[in-house]
Amino acid sequence: MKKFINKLYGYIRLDLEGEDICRFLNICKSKEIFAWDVSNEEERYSICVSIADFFKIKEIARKTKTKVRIKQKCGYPFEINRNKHRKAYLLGIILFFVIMYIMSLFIWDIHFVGLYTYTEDAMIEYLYSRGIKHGVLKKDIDCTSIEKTIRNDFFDITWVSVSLEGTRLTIHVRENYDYETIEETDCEMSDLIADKEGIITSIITRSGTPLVKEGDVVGKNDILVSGNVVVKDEYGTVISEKYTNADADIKAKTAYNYSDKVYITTEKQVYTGENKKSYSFGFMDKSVYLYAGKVKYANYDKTVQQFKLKLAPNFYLPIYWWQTTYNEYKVETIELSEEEAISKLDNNLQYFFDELLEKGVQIIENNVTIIKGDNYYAAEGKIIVIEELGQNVSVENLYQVEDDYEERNE
Amino acid sequence: MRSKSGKSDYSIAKRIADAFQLPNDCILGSLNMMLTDKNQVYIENYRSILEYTDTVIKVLGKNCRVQILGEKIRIISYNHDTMLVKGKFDEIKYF
Repeated sequence: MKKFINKLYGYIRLDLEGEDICRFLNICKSKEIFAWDVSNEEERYSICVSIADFFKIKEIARKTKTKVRIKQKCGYPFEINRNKHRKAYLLGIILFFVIMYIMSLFIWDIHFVGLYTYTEDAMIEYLYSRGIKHGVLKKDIDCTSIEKTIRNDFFDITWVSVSLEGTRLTIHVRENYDYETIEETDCEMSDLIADKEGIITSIITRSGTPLVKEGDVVGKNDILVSGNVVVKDEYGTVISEKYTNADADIKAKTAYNYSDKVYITTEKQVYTGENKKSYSFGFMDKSVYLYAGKVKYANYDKTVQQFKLKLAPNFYLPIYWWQTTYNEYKVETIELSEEEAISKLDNNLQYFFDELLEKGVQIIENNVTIIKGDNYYAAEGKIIVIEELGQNVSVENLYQVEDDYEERNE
Repeated sequence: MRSKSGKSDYSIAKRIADAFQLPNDCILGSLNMMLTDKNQVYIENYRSILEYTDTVIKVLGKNCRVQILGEKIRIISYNHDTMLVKGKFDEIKYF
């Protein structure tokens, strides 16, 4: 950095000859003339001073009887002075700054932070459809209106913050992950049906008429809670009948059939360490592939990495390059020992349990056993759990399903 | 200037610095040298350069004089109290 600053302001390398150079240096120090890069070669000394300090040195040189000779003039002020008659050179420098300024007027990078269910590509495609794309003038971007549009068009995005820094448009979003539970209560007249077989362990009805009770065995598609609420008088005569949206917390004991297989002889990818790289370059929407020869590997993995040119942390330019790496691997057949196979099956089962627990399912019985086959180990059995049962089906859909079923039977 | 007991003010300042465990280079302006390997030395609180060639540099401090012997000695930068010297050093001694 110091070198750059010295170059920017310009400096002079001087040759000094005299009997008392140390005195010269000490006087420079006391007069706050700070020289640097002081060296000595066979009675000849060399120092660097700034342009401003050079004019103060004359007096000191006279006092200490030191001969001062300019050896080299370094830095941009001298460069510009030397090349002032070269018009193209000067024009190039000016053009560079003009282009940089023009480039800084556009958006060259759109960056999303906090995406969970949506991909960045999908969101960028959406913004493109709204006219916010790479290469748009920064003054045409209205951050507040982008925030509003995203919030209106994506019901599950609850918070958006758009900021413009340099040539980068950063969009921070916060998604609502629980929207599915809200969505389910949309229909107005619905029954609650069983989405799988099970034994009811508890039922708390909020609206509708419960058709099952604790301990009942239910099959798939059985109606658990009807949305039809019938009000009768003491003689059993129907006073009123109303269809509502059936709602209840029903828990049932259900079973999951689990089966998993691990073969004793399996194939494994072993990387040889050999790789080949090829590059592509892009400017705005155009890209050029640099041919790097045919990939001669029989088996390989392909990894593509994209880089964007930036001059500062937020000053992106529309210049990209992609590095494609082909990593060679060999397929080796390995034989698993009994312990390895069992531990692999155990891990898979644990992963399955973790997934169930994440859904809020309570595991009460695990009947999975490991058996050995000819060339495999298998984990098979039933897992008994207590989970929430019930699925809202609108009455229209339900009767349509039943009519279709009857027609097919006829 | 000397105190009644005949000891210099310097010794009083030194005693205070020692009592409060304060660094001598800050309180007394002692020469402070920081060596990096065999090829770089950072000198603080020096007063003047006594001698300089490509094989020797002699520096005057407040209380001592130091000479650094070696080859290809260069003063990379210097200002009113600090100096960065680089080279291939063989010997550093007080004289």
